[in-house]
Amino acid sequence: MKIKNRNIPRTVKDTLSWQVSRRNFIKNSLALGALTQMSILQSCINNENNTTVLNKKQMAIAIAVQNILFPKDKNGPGAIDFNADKYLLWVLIDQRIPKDENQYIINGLKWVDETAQEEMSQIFLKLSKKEQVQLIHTVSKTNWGESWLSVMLTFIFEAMISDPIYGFNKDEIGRRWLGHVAGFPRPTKENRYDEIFETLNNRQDQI
Amino acid sequence: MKKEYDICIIGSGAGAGPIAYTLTKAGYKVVVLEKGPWFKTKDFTKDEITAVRRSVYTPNLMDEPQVFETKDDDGKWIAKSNKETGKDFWNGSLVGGSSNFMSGYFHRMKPNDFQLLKKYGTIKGANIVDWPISYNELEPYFTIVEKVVGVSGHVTKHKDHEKRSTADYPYPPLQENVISSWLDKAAESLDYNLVPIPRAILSKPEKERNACVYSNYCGSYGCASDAKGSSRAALLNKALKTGNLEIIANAKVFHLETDGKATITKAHYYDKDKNKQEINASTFVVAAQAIETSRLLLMSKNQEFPNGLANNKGQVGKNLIFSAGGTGSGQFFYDDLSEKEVEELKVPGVFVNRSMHNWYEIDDESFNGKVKGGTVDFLFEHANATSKAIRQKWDDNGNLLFGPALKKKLKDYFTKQRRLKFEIFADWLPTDDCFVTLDPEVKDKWGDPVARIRLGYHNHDLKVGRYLAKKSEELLRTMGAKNINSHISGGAPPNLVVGGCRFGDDPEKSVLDKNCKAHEVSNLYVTDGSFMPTGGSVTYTWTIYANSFRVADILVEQLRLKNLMQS
Repeated sequence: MKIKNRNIPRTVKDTLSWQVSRRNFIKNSLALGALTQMSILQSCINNENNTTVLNKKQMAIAIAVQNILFPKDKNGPGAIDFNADKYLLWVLIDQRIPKDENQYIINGLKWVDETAQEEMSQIFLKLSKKEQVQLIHTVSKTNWGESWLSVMLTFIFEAMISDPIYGFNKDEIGRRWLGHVAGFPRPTKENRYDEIFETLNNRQDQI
Repeated sequence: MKKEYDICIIGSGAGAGPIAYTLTKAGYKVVVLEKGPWFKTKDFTKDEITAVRRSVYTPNLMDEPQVFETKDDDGKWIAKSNKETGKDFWNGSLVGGSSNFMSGYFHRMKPNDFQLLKKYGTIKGANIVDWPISYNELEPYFTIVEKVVGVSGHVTKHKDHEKRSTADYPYPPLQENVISSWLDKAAESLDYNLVPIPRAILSKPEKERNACVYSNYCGSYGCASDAKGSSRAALLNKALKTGNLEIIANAKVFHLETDGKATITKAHYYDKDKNKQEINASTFVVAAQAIETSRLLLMSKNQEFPNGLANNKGQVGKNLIFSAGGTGSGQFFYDDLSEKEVEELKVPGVFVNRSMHNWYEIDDESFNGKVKGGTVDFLFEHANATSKAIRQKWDDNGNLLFGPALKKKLKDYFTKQRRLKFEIFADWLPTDDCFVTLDPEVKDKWGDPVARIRLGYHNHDLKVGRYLAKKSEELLRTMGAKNINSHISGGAPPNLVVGGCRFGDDPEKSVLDKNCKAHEVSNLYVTDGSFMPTGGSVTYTWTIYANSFRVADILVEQLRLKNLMQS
């Protein structure tokens, strides 16, 4: 198998420590279950169904890969149920995540497609579901592929566990599947992470 | 006219809080300059994204990087910025510092920890020295912390138990999970000495703080009830009520200016809008956590101190120490337990709170005589679900899992077992290979040189850690745990860092005197963990709090005498 030498950001190379450590920032959310009406997502989705960070093809590959990594099956909900695709967009428009890390996510979508053409002489989206799964197995054995898929999984997990106030994990579907009970107090509109700094900036009281 | 303060404190964590609390209550005017923002109790929730997954309470590494030196396979020191590696050593840049996020496992240091050299002798390659004060001098201040910060627990005597001036803790023990009784039973059968862990968490309310609500999310999270004894909740909020304290948040101090007579006159800082500001005060206290404290002194160069403030003997930044040891765990599978046991084990929020002290001193032939050992704390795996999920991504052979196989593993992990962990705390021996300097190239967002930290360790630390891990694993085995493992390494835990500005009687070999005043500067005190020449084998916050209360008393007396003379 011919695998091209693909550049992995150094921060992503040490996959486990990168993902367990505190990382950066994602931006905004709106009401529960209203994902397609979320202003922040509207701002990154243009009229041609392309996003400002992903074109239509890249988005389709991302969704397909997420559904292979975390399929909806008899065991429980899948990536699609907690809107992992919208969550990924959220991450990609985050200005505080180093550009090379986000570019790496986007590059990975291109590399998956290139690998499909190299290995199966067909673009990824034209492969059968079985072939797509087979290709992801192949990708997972490559240096870049293991890191990239691992990061994609982390974002799926974050979406699955996230508080419903962020708008992805509707009715706590991911948490309920795992029997996970979140702690109290839950985040509010004022203190969820994308609002907290503005809340602090506008505050005058001392204690 | 510029406002004059009696005391200017740089930093607001455990080393700063007792100074602000004591001095303001004594009527002195105090200003705190804190680099981070001011989160209040109402801002803290149990949101994993805010608290753990993103850098909300810590700086963005692109803005405030640090550089770390580690040894490569050939034994050569390699420096890398954490802009590139993601290695994050920030612990909490906000009012109250990292004390907001501690778990509050509180152990006093023991008398022998103050005389490591005298009691156990030299170890080749380690810069061990005795403390210039004894346990007896610090004991009254451990007691003050119990009352003022609030420590809950129940005193249980054991062979290495330190002397106390009071019979018991001021707050009763926190509620425990059934697993604590399983630990006790197994320990008894092995003749291990297991004792309840005192916690800096209120088990019942006091006047201005609520009791613990057992939220199940303690360490790494700010406390929404103020039960946790953070510097912010327990000390600064009360100091503010005196009217004598001003806290300036988002104030990054970059230079301490001296007058040519070894006296600091001003602290220079950047405000929120990156404008340069300055503060005048009679006395300056630096408590910015060990790495940043050394960095600030090294940055404060002038003609008088060409190598950095209080550094004419080249001691600032030297002998940085972390906590040696590691972690281990075992799993309890629900299929192996009765229905009642499962129900009791699954109860969230309540604590394990058990600690092992048998080997605080190790007397074993494998060490050729008595050596200093350590402490082992037992606790449940953290409730952080995303982190738990991430750890399930690989199979036993290290291959990435995905699809139905991953989902099955994840579901089983979350619904069919509970993991008990242990954390080992041993002395991180001070060596010439663990220190702070300024990086010659990498700058922070203000254009100042960042800290460069060499992370060397002594192999003796690993030997002690492995010895304690073996004993701990045996306890889990006796309890019936499965998949028992431990991991001991020389990796430096970012949240357990002290040293860099040792206190001592010899100005040639220490930065601070026994009162934590800089030998070379008339009005500079350092009250975070930087003063510690050795660390003991317990977590550091209680010792930092106690020492800061001790220094606060010294400062009050000095200011009283100064005022007396002036009048």
